[in-house]
Amino acid sequence: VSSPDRTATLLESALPRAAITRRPADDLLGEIPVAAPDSAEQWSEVLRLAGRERLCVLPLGLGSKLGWLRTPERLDLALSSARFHGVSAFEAADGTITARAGTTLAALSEAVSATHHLSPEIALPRASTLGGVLAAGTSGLDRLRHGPVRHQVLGITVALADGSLVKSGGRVVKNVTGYDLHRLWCGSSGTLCVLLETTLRLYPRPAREAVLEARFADRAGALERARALVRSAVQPVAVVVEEQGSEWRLSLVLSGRDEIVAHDVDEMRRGLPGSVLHEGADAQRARADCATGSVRTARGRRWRSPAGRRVSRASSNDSTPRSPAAVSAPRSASSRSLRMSTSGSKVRASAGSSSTASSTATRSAGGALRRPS
Amino acid sequence: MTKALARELRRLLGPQGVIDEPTRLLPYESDALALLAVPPELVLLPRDTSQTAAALRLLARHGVPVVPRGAGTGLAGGATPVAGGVVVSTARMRDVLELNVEDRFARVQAGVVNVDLTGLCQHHGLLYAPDPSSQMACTIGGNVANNSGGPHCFKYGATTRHVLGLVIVTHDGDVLDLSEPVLDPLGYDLVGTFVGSEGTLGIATEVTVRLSPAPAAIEVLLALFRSLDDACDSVTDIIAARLEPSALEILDRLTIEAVERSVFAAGYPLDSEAVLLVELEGTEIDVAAQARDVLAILERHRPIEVRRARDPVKRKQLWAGRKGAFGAMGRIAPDLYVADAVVPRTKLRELVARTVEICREANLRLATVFHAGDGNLHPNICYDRRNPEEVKRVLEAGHRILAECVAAGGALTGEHGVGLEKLAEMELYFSADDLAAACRLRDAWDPDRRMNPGKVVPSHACLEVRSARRAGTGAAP
Repeated sequence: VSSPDRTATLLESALPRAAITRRPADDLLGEIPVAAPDSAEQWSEVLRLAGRERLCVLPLGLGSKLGWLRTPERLDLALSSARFHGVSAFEAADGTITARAGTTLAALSEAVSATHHLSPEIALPRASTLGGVLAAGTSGLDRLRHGPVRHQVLGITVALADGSLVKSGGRVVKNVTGYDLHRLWCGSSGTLCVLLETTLRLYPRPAREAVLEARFADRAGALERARALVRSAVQPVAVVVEEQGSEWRLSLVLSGRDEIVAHDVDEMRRGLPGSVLHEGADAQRARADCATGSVRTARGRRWRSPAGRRVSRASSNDSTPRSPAAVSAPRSASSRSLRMSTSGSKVRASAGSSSTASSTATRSAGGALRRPS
Repeated sequence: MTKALARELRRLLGPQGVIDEPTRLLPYESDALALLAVPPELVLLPRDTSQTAAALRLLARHGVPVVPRGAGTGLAGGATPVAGGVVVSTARMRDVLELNVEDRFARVQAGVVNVDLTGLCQHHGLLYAPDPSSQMACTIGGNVANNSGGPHCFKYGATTRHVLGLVIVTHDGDVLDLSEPVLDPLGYDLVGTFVGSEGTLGIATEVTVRLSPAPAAIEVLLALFRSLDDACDSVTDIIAARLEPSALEILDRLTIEAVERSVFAAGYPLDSEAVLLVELEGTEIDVAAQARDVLAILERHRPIEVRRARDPVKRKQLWAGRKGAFGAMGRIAPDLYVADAVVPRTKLRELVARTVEICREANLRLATVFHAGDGNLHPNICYDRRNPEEVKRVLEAGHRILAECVAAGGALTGEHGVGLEKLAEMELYFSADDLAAACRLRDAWDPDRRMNPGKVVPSHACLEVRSARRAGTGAAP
């Protein structure tokens, strides 16, 4: 391990002083130097340096998901996107936006809001960077309508561990030129590369939004109704069921053209007797509240092991990672704990806790087709 | 290839699973890119995942290269055999394994034909959205390999958006079961990485696809224009107005002529320079509202005429010319070079005009049919393959068109793939470092480089990766 002081001295040869800080020790990480490059060249430079000096690096956005994976056994340096932010191109007429990794999702949404909707619509857009969201592969409230986060990505430029700058995909909405490496990078949690610049596809800004809220005495009743709504002719943005006190709240999020939302609201109200309708700014508040449900209910839950079971000819006890398992998911996934920062207070689940102990459940509906959450 | 190996393969796959008689090997010499043909030594037709795995295990032991093949409708040479290798076709893997109407997904064997899956879904009010023009013949496995598109991908997205899971047989015959239908994978997205890899990372034997609800109402608008520019500008305006039709297709004058002289004649007036097809889907009110807005935009560009259809028979008539376009072009030229390029949708008019110019300069006849909504151009250059000088001009014009599209911020291929056809152009689009990263991905899946060798990534780019690794300086991606 390189001492923080030695690492900091090494960094000074590659980066301006303003780009080098320290992250004080906390319960996750010891004290480490943080490098915050502000150009692709600087990213390349600092990674080359780290490669030369055999330093272990941790790419970092705002750090809200640091506890999602086990803390690295060895760590010399954090690489922050804090100084690498901003929109490089917003092509309104083409419906695409290109931005640097440190841009917050709130800033991105704001940049396009006059004409477009930006997916994923995640819980804490001000506390999340584009790079962080993509690296963690977290989809948003609008997944039912627009699909998971990786479907929004048209192309990414990254820096690899040897400092080389590599692109996959592009800035056009349809493209099969070469491998979809950007899909592999999305959700790779900083284990393959540092994400630098990304192009996302955008969706039309809805003319009207509405949220219908109904309350149920039990979970089964709420879930049954939610499933029916997902299968109805109306195609909602989201259907969310969340435990609130002794009741279960079902929220139906609708958006689109004026006349269509008006029609859908009429139709759906009949299926949800006693429901409350939120419209305009009120609907936006209700919608944001649905999006943050996943953070509120994070306590006490664990991630399940990845879907990729390997059924090998040899035997199931052959645990030697080989290709393509060599590029496969972290094997520790089943024991990782979930940790999220929420406005100041931190909630943390111990690695051994059972998911059934969870007292709440949020469900972005979509039947069986969803990420275990 | 030894007789003993063929005998062993026949024992594994049965007599129907191995083809080695020269006359029966003939159809496997090329895919739809007929310019490139290589006779295969052996074609294997495994029946399921375990037979595929057994065959690949044996081939790995003997170090034999493998070319995966669906229906062979690919246009980029992705299924062209390689010398000394075998072709593994999925044609006998045609079972639908599961149709889950409640959760809207289907699990099928890779050889299921695209249109058969579509037909099966229809009975349940569901839809398998990707609809390549070859959908009558092409397989779901082939669609996965090429991340195929089609007219309706404008609204629904290409194949990768509709694949939830895969069962993959790897280069050495291992089976990787990623078939669980999850929207967000935990850990690395191996399914998303595999889709579009053109048979270089393994063979997908089973595919779990997402099904969409079939729309309640559909309307087709067909506008006839006096100039190609007017049609292109209409599309750019529809995109800029953030309207979302399910398809936006343009046919140019030569295509119209070909269609009108063929059995696909759709009654397009011969004095029109361009046809624009717009399809709208949704609930009744949704479609009515979209139609109103689209019509207003079309009117701004002074169409000769706009035809509309709601009922299935009349809709089919309006689509007849587009769906039959490629067949009809057989009437105007012996051979057709079907190019495939993508441009930003704000630059449609400019780039379409450039392709026309390039072909005029090269004295070539151009018929253009394209997925305008995606910016996906298909300039079809007419030629005669018996005229080598003309073939040379065609390939040069194709290269120039691609170079112009890339320079304008576009891409090399929107749906046909790289295959063998676009290897040289990969360097127009990617840097040496980009290609080296692609090689490392490939090596992680197939370290012996036996899966569809020589396709997708230029091999000299990979040679550099290999020598760097030997020297110990290359980092894993």
